[in-house]
Amino acid sequence: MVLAVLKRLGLLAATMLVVSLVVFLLLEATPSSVAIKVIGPYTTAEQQQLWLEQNGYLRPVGERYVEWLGRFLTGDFGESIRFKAPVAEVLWPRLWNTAILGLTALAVIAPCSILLGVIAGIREGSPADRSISVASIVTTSLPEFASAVFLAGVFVFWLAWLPGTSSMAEGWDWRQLVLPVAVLVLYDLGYVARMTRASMVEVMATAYVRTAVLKGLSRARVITHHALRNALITPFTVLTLHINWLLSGVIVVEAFFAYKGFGALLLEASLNQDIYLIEACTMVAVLVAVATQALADIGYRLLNPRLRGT
Amino acid sequence: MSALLSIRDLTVHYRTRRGPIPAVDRFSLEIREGDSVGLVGESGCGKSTVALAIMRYLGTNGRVAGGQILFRGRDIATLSPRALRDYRGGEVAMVYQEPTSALNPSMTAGQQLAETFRDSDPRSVRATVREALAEVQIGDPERVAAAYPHQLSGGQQQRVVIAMALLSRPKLLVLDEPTTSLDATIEAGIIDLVGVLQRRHGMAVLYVSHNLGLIRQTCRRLVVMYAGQAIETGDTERLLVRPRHPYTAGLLACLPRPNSHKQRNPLHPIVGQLPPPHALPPACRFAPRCAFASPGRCDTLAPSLVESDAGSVRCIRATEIDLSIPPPSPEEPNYPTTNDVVIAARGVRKTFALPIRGFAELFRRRRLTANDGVDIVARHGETVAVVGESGSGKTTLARLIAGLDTASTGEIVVLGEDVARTPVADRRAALRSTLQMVFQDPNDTLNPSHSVARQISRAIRKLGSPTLTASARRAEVARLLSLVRLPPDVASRLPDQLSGGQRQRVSIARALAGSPQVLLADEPASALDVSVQAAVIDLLLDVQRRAGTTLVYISHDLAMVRYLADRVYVMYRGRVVESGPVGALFAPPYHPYTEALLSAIPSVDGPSDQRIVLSPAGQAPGRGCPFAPRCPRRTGEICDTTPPPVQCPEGDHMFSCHLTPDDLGRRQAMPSREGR
Ligand SMILES: Nc1ncnc2c1ncn2[C@@H]1O[C@H](COP(=O)(O)OP(=O)(O)O)[C@@H](O)[C@H]1O
Ligand code: SF4
Ligand code: SF4
Ligand SMILES: [Mg+2]
Repeated sequence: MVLAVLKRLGLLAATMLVVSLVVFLLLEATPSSVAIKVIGPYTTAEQQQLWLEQNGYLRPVGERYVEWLGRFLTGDFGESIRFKAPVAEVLWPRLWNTAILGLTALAVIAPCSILLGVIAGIREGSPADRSISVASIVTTSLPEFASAVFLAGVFVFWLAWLPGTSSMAEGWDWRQLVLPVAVLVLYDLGYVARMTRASMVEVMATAYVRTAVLKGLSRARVITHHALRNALITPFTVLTLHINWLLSGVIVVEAFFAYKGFGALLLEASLNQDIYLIEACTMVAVLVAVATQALADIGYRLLNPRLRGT
Repeated sequence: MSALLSIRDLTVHYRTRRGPIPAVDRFSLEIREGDSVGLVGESGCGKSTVALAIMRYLGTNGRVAGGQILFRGRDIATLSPRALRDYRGGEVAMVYQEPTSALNPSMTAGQQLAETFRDSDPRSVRATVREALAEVQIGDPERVAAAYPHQLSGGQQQRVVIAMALLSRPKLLVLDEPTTSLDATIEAGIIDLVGVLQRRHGMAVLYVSHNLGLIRQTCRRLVVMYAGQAIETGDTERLLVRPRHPYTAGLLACLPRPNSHKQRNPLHPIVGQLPPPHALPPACRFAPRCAFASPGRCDTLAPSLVESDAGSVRCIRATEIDLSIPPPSPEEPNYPTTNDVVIAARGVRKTFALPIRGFAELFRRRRLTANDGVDIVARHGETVAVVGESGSGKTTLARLIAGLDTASTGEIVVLGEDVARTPVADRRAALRSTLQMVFQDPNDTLNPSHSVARQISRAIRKLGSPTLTASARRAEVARLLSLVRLPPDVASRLPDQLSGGQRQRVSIARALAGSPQVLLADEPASALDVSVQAAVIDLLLDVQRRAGTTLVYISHDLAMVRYLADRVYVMYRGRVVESGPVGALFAPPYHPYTEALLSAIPSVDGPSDQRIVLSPAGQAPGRGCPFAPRCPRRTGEICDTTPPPVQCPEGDHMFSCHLTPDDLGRRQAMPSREGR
């Protein structure tokens, strides 16, 4: 098991290394384009040459990559062009905001979807199962911009209960978080609920659940100790992998509600060709994706005794 | 004595897309305290439904549509949820067909045993669990209690399930085909165990099976079911010796008897198959398959279950027909053989790399030796059987001969050509079509999305005659289907629309497309009911009679091997430990391993011998005799340290053991066992 975890972490590090190389080569392989992006297209060739020399860009690519990687590892990502400040100072607060948004959404999605999925799955074809299944199909098939427009229409313009933007201009306000979270929840809840339901239905029909019932265990114990334990393996994996999915949903939601998060930052960075910011954002996004994948793998092994043994 | 459980006119319906189907129809049964009753019939006849109805567990689509089940006089349909739990956990317990799936994969065996009693302190619970495991004769209860189901063998899993069922000291134990998926030696152990436990605790047992031979040893009384109805009941001995219903007689005729052989006595499979519950014959449900059916009576008058002193029977002609005379065999069993050697394998060795566990194994892979110097010869027209427990290397050997794997060392000469290292794709087309394999699971060879006709005609193109015109090929498909006794309309169906026995016949038809001279059959019938088994074997023998095919038959069913083989190889841990003509092999002197295998054969007649129960396969042996760790006759140190010599008591018969034929011929006292 320990070996498997170490292997997985090794794989993670290797992936990140490859990604970093790709990012570096794509963005910094040709120094002149870097200079144009940093000091602007309307500078003279001499100015650009001078800048390149001052910033060590005339050294061989390999040497530059190693140095770049070293700085990256210590959290020094360079200077943002658009924000005129160190990238780290811009990035961390934005990431934090998104984490709040994403984790709040996840905190709603995980228990609700699992609860709904389990209720639906305990008895296949029951009225509860049918209504939950239909509702989750409807909500998942709704794209997030559509539900954003719809929710804003109802709660901002019609009922006027909630603010329409979430820029937190006058300081932190939980009411501004409600709509972005709601859109994300709507986007993902049904999907996870349906996965949980399918897995629960399958488990409830297994011979070992029958064994448990026929042992004379109470229904509650059969469900909590025998069915859930095995039925939750799938939704756990799905949920972890869905952190990535949420991240992509976050871009749309943040843009729509003007929420100052990581998704919006990523968008701004690319629109402004803010090279060092792009690099940092890309690396962070990939790291989140790869790390959740690893987490899902390790968790799956832990939950599954057949894989844990060796 | 009053009835413990009494089932009265039970009717069970399953809700399906075609509407409700009657799986069990006015079925009655009484079980008294301490009684043992067997419930027998082909699969699909409703046995499991009865068993589950007793547990009041019919799933989401099953429903008791009539009748009642009384436990100690109380209708179980009226039990409150609380009382139902006490009934299930305490009064009646069940053991299932598939031990692997009956245990929760993510809880240890100990946890699953312990959870039935929630109150007392952990130390006493642990002690009880240990006791329970020791009671079902598990050698190391501590280890087994801490193990997850996947870390246990099939036999151990089933013992854990039995231990679990016995924890609450039930009054009635229901066993639904508890050994169907297990090896014969393991099966014998489980059946003995049930007998011992039953006597010790005085509980009643309802034993569900499709094999009359198995049930004979455990049950005092039998109920035979057909298409949802009880068709004959009676004391076991009477019913097996003098069956009164043609179906019971038919089931018995499917089993090879100890002194019968294919050369003298043909098998008599029951023709046709069980009607599906939504298309039952109007009167006697067995009529379409009954050799004694009388037109005008059996298809108009539904027989009722008639009671008499000897039990009850549901047949209007029961008193007129004589079932003791077997129907005449259609043709003289005559098997053409010559001395031409078709397959000669010498010193075949095959190792597989095991999955890497741990860092050191990255550099030194552990290897498993599946075949360790196997010699085997098969002559033209002969049936050569390879027997042994699962894992002994039988299938590996067949796959090497067929070219599905290649040997590590050694030679395999098929029709004069060494093919030990030639995978099937590189073999000459003529060789490929002349050597065909039939697998245990027909689904391994059949494509689920192609019709039967399409699959067979593809085989004809690839193995037989590539140049046939489309219409000639259609005729050939029809000929092959009739050869395996399938109706022509099967051609247009998909594998899913066929029964297990029909699918196996299609895969045999496919194998026959190139008129092979050699058929390798790997447990072709072991997943099937006895009645279907007999039909498949009969079919293979028929092919052999007509075409002089060499049959290499792999099986752990020694009763069938004794019936159909000419020569037998007994394998243990990748080696042949005994080989010889079937007559010599099934008579003393035996190799100790063969002796144990033979003693596990269930039989419907003759004295039921004491069985030799082997301990589970243990540690891989060092350089001595591979069987030494389990051998009941181990003579001493020498067995562990020195490879046993090969001895030839007579002619073709040989075995490897340190004991001489004289030693082995003398029957030793069996190891004494509890409860005997
Ligand atoms: N859950 C179910 N839904 C629909 N039909 C079923 C179900 N279980 C069993 N049946 C049908 O009921 C009949 C009896 O099945 P079963 O009791 O399993 O027989 P056996 O145990 O003798 O093989 C069969 O035709 C089978 O197909
Ligand atoms: S009633 Fe007729 S068809 Fe049915 S078993 Fe008896 S003889 Fe055969
Ligand atoms: S050599 Fe020894 S251990 Fe092996 S079978 Fe003979 S008696 Fe048993
Ligand atoms: Mg069954």
